[in-house]
Amino acid sequence: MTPTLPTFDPLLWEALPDLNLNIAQTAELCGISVRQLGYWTRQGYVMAQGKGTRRTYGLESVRRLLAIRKAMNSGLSLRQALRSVADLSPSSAPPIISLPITSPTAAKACAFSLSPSDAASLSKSLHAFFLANGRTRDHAGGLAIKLGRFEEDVQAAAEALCAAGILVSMPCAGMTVYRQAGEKNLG
Amino acid sequence: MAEQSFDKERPQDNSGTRGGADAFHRMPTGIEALDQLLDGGLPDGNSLLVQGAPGTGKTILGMQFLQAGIEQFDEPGMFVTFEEHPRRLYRDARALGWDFEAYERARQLLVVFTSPEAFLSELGSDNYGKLVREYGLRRVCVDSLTQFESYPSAMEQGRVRFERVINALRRDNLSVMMTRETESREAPFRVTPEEYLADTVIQLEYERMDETRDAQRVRTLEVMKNRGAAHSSSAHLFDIGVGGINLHRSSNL
Ligand SMILES: Nc1ncnc2c1ncn2[C@@H]1O[C@H](COP(=O)(O)OP(=O)(O)OP(=O)(O)O)[C@@H](O)[C@H]1O
Ligand SMILES: [Mg+2]
Repeated sequence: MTPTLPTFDPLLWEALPDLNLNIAQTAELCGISVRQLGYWTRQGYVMAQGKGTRRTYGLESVRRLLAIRKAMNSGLSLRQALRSVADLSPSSAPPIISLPITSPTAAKACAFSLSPSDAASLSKSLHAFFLANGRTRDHAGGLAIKLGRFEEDVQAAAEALCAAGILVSMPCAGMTVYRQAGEKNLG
Repeated sequence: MAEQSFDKERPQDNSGTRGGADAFHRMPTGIEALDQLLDGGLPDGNSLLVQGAPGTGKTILGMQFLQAGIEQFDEPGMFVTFEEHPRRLYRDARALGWDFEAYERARQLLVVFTSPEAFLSELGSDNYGKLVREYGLRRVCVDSLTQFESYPSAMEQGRVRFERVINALRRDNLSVMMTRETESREAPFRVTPEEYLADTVIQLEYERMDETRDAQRVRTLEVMKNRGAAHSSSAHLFDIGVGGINLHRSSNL
């Protein structure tokens, strides 16, 4: 079952014109990883103020991120999701998603989980990715960016591929790095 | 005219032998014109940082560094890429006349596709040390450091992280080249930790000759720093084509 995000309360938005969140807060609120947020920012999918680790995100950016996530949650690819939010502007678009200001972690509660058929297709994509890029060794967060998917979903798909003997997981300094199984001489 | 006398004095020995008695032993990169600008090559153990705006040729210089090592000194190399897919690297290398897939089959080259976080933790746990011994790797190119800047770490500053990468790779006795994106002409205004910490810094530019809109763009390479040895003090024109970066030695700017 695909969880739905809570609906929008316009009053909350109007109360937050000066919203200015740091990277970690924005990522948590929008339910994406810091790394993914950094990548989307560098790609210009979302605007930030400031540079490097001192970047901050305003209301419009948060709204845009939530809209992208919502579109992806409904099954669109990242590219399609970006297209669908392309004309999201403050005036024209109705506010889409609520901003749970009282509890940022509430956003995490509606974390993504794929339906069984979506999960199977993600496992296939991940497998295909490793076949096409044989020298890959990466953790779920890095793979999620390369596949344009969410980290939790990729993690689950990678574990499934490990169980099937297709990937090997290497626990390593607090994270798990995946590579293809049966690759001789690759550590 | 200092440049000319510099060129006359350059060492002619490009034999590539390592560990000689000479206190100023150089490791030729194998890119002949660059070795001349560096007074014979990289001083042994120096890390090399290549900076420039997007499209200035950093990745190409990195590939050339490994290609030259393989072809001229039989030194296997590793190309660590964070964003560029290996297939695109193979394709771009092919257009420059290099068959990277053949090098990989011959175990002379290892292209590793990873992310900064995974790279850092694998460096820490000696997984790369195993690869280095397994393949007899001598050179490594990390493309690019800019990806390290894109995520904040609660644990350490960018400076410490950068040092950790260099030291881990040096521990395995690798000659290290790293690339880093800069905004055009950023260098004069802001000095970054990477520039302090790298031993040798090369700046690539792709700029208009003058301010007019139809002025032609030219590519230049300049050695900004070379710890332990002399280096050329001017920007040198180059072009990109088959064989990679082709420096025009005589035409300083
Ligand atoms: N086969 C070729 N022949 C001639 N010029 C080429 C060839 N391949 C690439 N180039 C030139 O090199 C440029 C790209 O070089 P490179 O990929 O090394 O840049 P970069 O500095 O790594 O850029 P980025 O920061 O975007 O990764 C191209 O924009 C093009 O001008
Ligand atoms: Mg590049």
